[in-house]
Amino acid sequence: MASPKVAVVGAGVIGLSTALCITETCPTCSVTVLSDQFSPNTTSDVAAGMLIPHTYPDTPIHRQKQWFKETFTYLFAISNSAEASEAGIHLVSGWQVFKSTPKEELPFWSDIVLGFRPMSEAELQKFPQHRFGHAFTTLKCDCPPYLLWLEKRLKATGTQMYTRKVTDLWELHSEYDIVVNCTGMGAHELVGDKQLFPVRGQVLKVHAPWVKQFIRDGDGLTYIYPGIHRVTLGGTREKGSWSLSPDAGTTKDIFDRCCSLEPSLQGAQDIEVKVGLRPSRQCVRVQREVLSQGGVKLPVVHNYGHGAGGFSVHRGTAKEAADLVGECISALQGSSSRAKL
Amino acid sequence: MRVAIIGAGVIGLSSALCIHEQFHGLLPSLELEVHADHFTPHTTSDGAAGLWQPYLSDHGNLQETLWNKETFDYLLGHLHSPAAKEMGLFLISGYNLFTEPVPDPSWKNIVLGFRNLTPKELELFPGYSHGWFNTALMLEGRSYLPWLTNRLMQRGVKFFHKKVESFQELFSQGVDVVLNCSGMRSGDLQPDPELQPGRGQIIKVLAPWVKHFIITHDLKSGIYNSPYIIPGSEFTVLGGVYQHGNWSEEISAKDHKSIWDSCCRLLPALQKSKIVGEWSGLRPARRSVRLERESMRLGNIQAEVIHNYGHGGFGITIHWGCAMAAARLFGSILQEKKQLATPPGPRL
Repeated sequence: MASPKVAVVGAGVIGLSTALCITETCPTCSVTVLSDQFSPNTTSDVAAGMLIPHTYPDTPIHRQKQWFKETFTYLFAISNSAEASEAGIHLVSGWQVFKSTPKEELPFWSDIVLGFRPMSEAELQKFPQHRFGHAFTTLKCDCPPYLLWLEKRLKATGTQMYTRKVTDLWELHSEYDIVVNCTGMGAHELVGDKQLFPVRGQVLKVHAPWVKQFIRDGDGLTYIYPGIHRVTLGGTREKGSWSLSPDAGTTKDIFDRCCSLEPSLQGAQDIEVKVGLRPSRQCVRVQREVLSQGGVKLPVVHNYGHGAGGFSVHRGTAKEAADLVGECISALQGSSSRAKL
Repeated sequence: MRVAIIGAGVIGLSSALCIHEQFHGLLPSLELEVHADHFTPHTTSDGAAGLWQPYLSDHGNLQETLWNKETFDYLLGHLHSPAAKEMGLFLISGYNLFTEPVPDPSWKNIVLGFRNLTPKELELFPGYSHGWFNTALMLEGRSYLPWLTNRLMQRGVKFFHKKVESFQELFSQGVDVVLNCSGMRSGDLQPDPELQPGRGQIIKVLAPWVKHFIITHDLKSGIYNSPYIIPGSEFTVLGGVYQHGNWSEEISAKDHKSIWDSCCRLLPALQKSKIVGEWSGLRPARRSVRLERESMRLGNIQAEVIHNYGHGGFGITIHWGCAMAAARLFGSILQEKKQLATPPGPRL
C-alpha cells in the first residue's frame, strides 16, 4: 500500500490533532479531514481550552495521566516558542477552591501542571465561602486560534479539508482505505453509540482584560478562565440535555456565581453567550474496529467521547489513535501481501 | 487651615486623600489644594507599569518595608470593592528570575503564595538558574490617578495647574502647611544632592496572551537594568533600563533596541507583538525616602513643610504607607498648633 488514504471525520480539536499526528507518524499517508463544521463552529470553539483534566470513571488512571502528560508537554513547548501567540497557547496561573476539603488531597495530574501546592491561609481569605484550595500554573488553548493553527499545520503537509456531512461511515469506503471517527457528539448518530451522552455547557465570553488569573470551584460548575482576548465564565453540566440554545436565566446565574468569586467581573463588558454539548462517555473510546458489510471490510479507528476533558488529553489520544491507524495500515499491507501470494 | 500639596503623582494625590479622609471631619476649617505642573496622564506615575513590588533588598530600612506592607494590605482590602476596576487594581502572578541564588526578599511574606521556582518552570527561562513565583497586585497609574483625582474633587479639594517655584510662594499666599510631593523636581524647591534621577525607558506592546509578570535580575547591572515584561489591562510593558544620573526624558534608540531584543529573547512570542507606544521617565531615586517635617521661619510665621519624596522605582508600591505617615506628621503639626486635642487616625 503505497499511499494509504485516510479520512478523518470531525474537525474539532480531536479531529484536527489526530489528523496531524497521522501525518507525523505516517508521512506516506494521504490524509483528508471531512466535517460538517469547522472552527469557529465546533464544540471545541465553545470550550475555554484549559488544561485541567476531567477524570473518566472507566479509563485506567495511568492511561489518563499519560494522555495528559503528553498533551501538556507538547503544548508547553509551543507556549515557549515564537508560535505561542499564533497557536493561542499560553500559561495561566490561578486557584481551584473547595467549599469542603476534597477526599483526595492530590489530583492525579498535580505533578504535571506547574508549581502545584495548597493555597495559603492568606490566599483563602479572598474566598470566604471556601475552606481549601490548590494553586498552580497550567496551559490554556484559545479557540479559534488553536484550531486555525492546527488547520494551517495540516495544510502545510498537504492535507485536504472539506466541508461535508458524513451520515454513514460506509459512504467513505470507496474513496478511503481507513476512516478515523473523531465526530464527538456526532458519534451518537453516526455509529449509534448509546453510551455517548451530551453534557450541556453554557458559558459567557466577556471582555475583562484585568482578569489575569483563573479561579475554579472544585465542583467544576463555576469557573473564570482568562483567554487571550476574552474571559470565559462558566458554567453548567446538564446531563442529557441536547439544547444548543442559550438560556437567559442560566446566563444570569453563571454571571452571579462568577461575580461572587471575582467581584470585579461586575465591570465586564460585551457579554457573549455560547453553548456546547460535551461528548461524554464513561471512558474515552480510542479503539480500532473493522466494519464488515457484504464481504467488504472497512478499518475504522475511533477517537471520541472526551466529554469535559478534550483539550486536556487531546494530543495523547491523537497519538494513540495515530498508532492504531498505523496498525490498520500494517494489517492492510499484511492482507494485501497475502492476497498477492 | 490651608494645606497645599505640591505634586499630582501617586504620592501627592494619595497623601492629599489620606489627610482629607482623616482630618476633614475633625477640622472643619481644613482646605486642601493640589499644585502641580503635570497632571495625569503626564506624571511619572502614569508611565510606570504599576506592579506592586519593592526592590530586592531593603538595605535594613525596615520603615520602608513596613510602608510597603501597609500599602499592599490596603490595596488587597480594596480588591473586592466595586471601585477596584476603576482604580486599575487587580491581582497578578509572575516570575522573578536570577542567574545565581539570592536571599529571600523583605516582601516574601507580604505578597501571596511566595515560593521558589521548580526545575520545570525554570525550563521556560533558559539562562536563569533560580527564581521566585508569587501573586502580587497591579495598580495602574492611568486609572488610579484619575480615580484619586475624582475622590479629591468630590471632597472639594482644589487643583492648580502651575509650577510652584518656591515654598515661600505658597506661604505668602496664606498656606499654613505644605506637603512636598514633587518627586523628581524636589531639587528645584530645595537642593537635595541625595535625590538623583534613575532614568527608565519602556516599550508598550499588544501581547494579550501574556498573563504573568516576568522580571529578570542581573545583580551586577543593578535593579531594573535587566529585561522585564509586565502585562497590564490594555497593553504589556517591556522594560529594563535604570540609568543613574541621566536626566534625559527622550526616547533612546539604543535603549529601545536593547529592551526589545532582550525581552524577545526572554519570551520569543513577543516578536509577533505590535508596538503601540514608548515612554521614558525619571525615577526619583534616593538612598531612602525623605518623609519628614521641616519647620521654616519665614518672617514672623512658623511655616511647616512635610517632605514626601524620593520613592525611586517603588512609588506605587509604597505610596499608601507613606501617605499615612505624612498624615500622622500632619496630625502632630495640628496638635502643636493646638488645633486638635489628640491626633486622630488609625494606630499601627
